[in-house]
Amino acid sequence: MSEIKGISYYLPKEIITNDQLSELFPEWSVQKIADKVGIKNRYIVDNDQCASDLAFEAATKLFDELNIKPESIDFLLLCTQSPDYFLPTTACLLQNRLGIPTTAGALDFNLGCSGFIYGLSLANSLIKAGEAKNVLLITAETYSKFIDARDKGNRTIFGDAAAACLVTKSDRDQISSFVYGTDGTGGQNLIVKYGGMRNRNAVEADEDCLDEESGLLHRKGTLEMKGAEIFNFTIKVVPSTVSKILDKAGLTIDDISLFVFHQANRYILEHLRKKMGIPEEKFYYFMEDCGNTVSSTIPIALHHALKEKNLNSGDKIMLLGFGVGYSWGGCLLTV
Amino acid sequence: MDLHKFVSNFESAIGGVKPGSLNPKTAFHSEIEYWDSLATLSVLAMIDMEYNTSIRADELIECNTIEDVFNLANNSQD
Repeated sequence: MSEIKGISYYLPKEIITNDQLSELFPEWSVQKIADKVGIKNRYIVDNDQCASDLAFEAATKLFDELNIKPESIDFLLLCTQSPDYFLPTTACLLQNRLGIPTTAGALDFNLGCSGFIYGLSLANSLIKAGEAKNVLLITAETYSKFIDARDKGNRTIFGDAAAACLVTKSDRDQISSFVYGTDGTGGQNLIVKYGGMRNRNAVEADEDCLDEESGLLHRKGTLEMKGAEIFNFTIKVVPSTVSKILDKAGLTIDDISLFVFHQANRYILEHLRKKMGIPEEKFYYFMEDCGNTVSSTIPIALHHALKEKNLNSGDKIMLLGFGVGYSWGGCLLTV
Repeated sequence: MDLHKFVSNFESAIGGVKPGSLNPKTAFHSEIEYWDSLATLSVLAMIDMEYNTSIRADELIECNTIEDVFNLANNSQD
């Protein structure tokens, strides 16, 4: 059995405020849109900073806060879609940099907004199978490097971050009722088409193309997101996944003390909350100061929720991630 | 589904327009000055909440008038 011992996170230094976005895009009602999506600031890396740098800072902070030594880690899982290199595996570089023993296992896995849930599932399974005792799960993204400077929509929403979470062997079964989902038909709706092996033509990647949904130009090699299609995906899968998790645990919505979902944007989450009839006080938001940090939104929100909300031992928290892939997953945490 | 109620729901969803200022023939992409991707999303959210159905985002983008959107939503309920 396993439990979460602690979560820490790190945001890069450079802050982008709504005022700054307004100055960059004077023709655009940034404030109105930012109010609607519930984001005031986002933090982005500088040119020299990569996912591993954010991951290192988050993990170091976690070690300090929990007063544990890197030597105690026997497995490192890193969730990222913006690795430092194609190869080697970023988790291998982090093993060395963090001083994690060479006897530890380490791997990267490529998922976005659902990544933390899948990481928890992997950590939980490794521990239950007796393969590891202390799993360091890190989520780290630098989506800002994927986004075209002219893409005001995505620049408003996304921020860079890393979160580090220690999952350990325990006498109690804190993490349970996993439900997963995958639908690759949505792959094209959130994509960076160039840079991988499918399209290696770097010249074409720099050509402009028009996004029909937003009416904005962006370079072909940058991040493309069809927000409205993704919204349709979330209203289809999120309510049914919540039901499946509840069914698996034999619980109802009333039995859940807190819902911590992927912080996609406030507008989408408010719609989902109302649609599912979840009371406002049970639905946690943490995106105003850092935006949508992809796989780190759930651990960041959970870190704050555990501090701010007066949860009692035995209370249930539902975690749910959904997005790029499409990929989604959820589970329950017992406080 | 009632067309006039749909137009009124459409107005509430996108916000920033006077009630009664839009009609079924309004070509919303061009006639609503600040139409953006968030407005598209708001219409999808309204159709989901009020009519418990969904239409494809690319089909919504291709619609010309509010009545076109109404027809899509109406057909999706069948």
